[in-house]
Amino acid sequence: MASAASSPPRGRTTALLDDLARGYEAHAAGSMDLFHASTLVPGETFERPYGTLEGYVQRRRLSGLLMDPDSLVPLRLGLFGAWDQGGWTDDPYFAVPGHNVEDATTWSWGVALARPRQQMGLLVGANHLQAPTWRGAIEDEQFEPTSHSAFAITRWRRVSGLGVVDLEGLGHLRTAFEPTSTPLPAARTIVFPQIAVAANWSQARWNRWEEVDAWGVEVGVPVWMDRIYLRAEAGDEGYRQVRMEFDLSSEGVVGVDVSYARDRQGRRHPGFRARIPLFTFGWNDPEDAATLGTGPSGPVWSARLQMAWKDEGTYWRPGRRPSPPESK
Amino acid sequence: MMRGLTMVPRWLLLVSGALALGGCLQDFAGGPARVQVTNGGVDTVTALSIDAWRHDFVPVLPPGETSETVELPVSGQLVVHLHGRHEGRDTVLSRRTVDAGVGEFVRIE
Repeated sequence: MASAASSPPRGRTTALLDDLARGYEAHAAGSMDLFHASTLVPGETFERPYGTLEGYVQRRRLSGLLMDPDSLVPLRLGLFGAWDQGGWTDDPYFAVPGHNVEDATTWSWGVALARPRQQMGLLVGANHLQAPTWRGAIEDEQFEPTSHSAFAITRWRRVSGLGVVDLEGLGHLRTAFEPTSTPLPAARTIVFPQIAVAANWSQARWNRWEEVDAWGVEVGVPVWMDRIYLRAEAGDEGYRQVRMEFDLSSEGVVGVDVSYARDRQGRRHPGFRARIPLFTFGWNDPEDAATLGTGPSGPVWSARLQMAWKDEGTYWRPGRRPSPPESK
Repeated sequence: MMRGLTMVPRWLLLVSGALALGGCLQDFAGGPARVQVTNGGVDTVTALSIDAWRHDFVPVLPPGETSETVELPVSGQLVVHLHGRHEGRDTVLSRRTVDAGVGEFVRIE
């Protein structure tokens, strides 16, 4: 029995892995991401034999990458772990679910190797997708069997790669020329260093934007130094999003994003994100909605604690970079 | 009192706060759908069911009577069965689709 509200859980794992690939850097000592997203009004449907239920869609995720604290070793080892859970629910919740809830949970593990001097990193791991289940006041059901997949993320200087395979073959590929992750001199006029381009391909079940096989491209262009950044993404299933990021510093931990995007139902709507150190609040953000695996019928809100760090006093938002030393 | 609070580990306060907040969010959007059944037929209505879930009316509803308000286990467009007695036998008197969204109150006649 397929859910009308939800995409296959593998598509949701794509959001986690794409974010990880964007922010993965050889010189970071670790990164963490605590994320919760939910629709705000009860408009999401879920098909059952006795009717079309009405409720919400939620997802929550905790992921962390911890590297060897000794940054001077030539080969730095690390461990990665993530938990991603959610689905349709008849009642929004943080801790205790309501009477009717879809549970699609993914556990991910990985090991990381980095050679900081060469600015090279490799993270390999596996996803364990627990059988998505329905727990209801009327009946319980298991929708799909448990499945597994493996992934590899590579980084060499500014070039990153992500590959995901499951038992059905290649699931998702992404290769990118990322914004630089190392501190740049404060006085330098930055144009080219922050240009980013990426191409990706997703098999339907791994596509978080639309449930079809699709190619996609991403382009990032600095509009004003490294304070205003324009990012656009499109796929051959259609236009996905355009986003303008406004930041007060190169760490990107204080700022605002505004976006405009097409959702899974083909509707177009604006969204925004506001950031204070460590914490990000999102409203109708297209990436949050894509993470939910649905084109929400109502507003989506999200809360996120996210950071990457190098040492006690040096932290930044994954995908950005530390401030130049002379600006401190 | 405040001195006692400072001795509680911060993580415990945070977890307790999150659990409390999670509990507060339950039903904040209106809770489950509720229905009230009015027996507009000539037979006695004894129960209301949705798939395996069943609510028996006590007392049963003779023609023209209205039931107490019943809280449904789910909300949405639901296939509802009304059970009753027809010519001395228990049977399904009617099957209908009811639009009972989250927090809504619906009358079934």
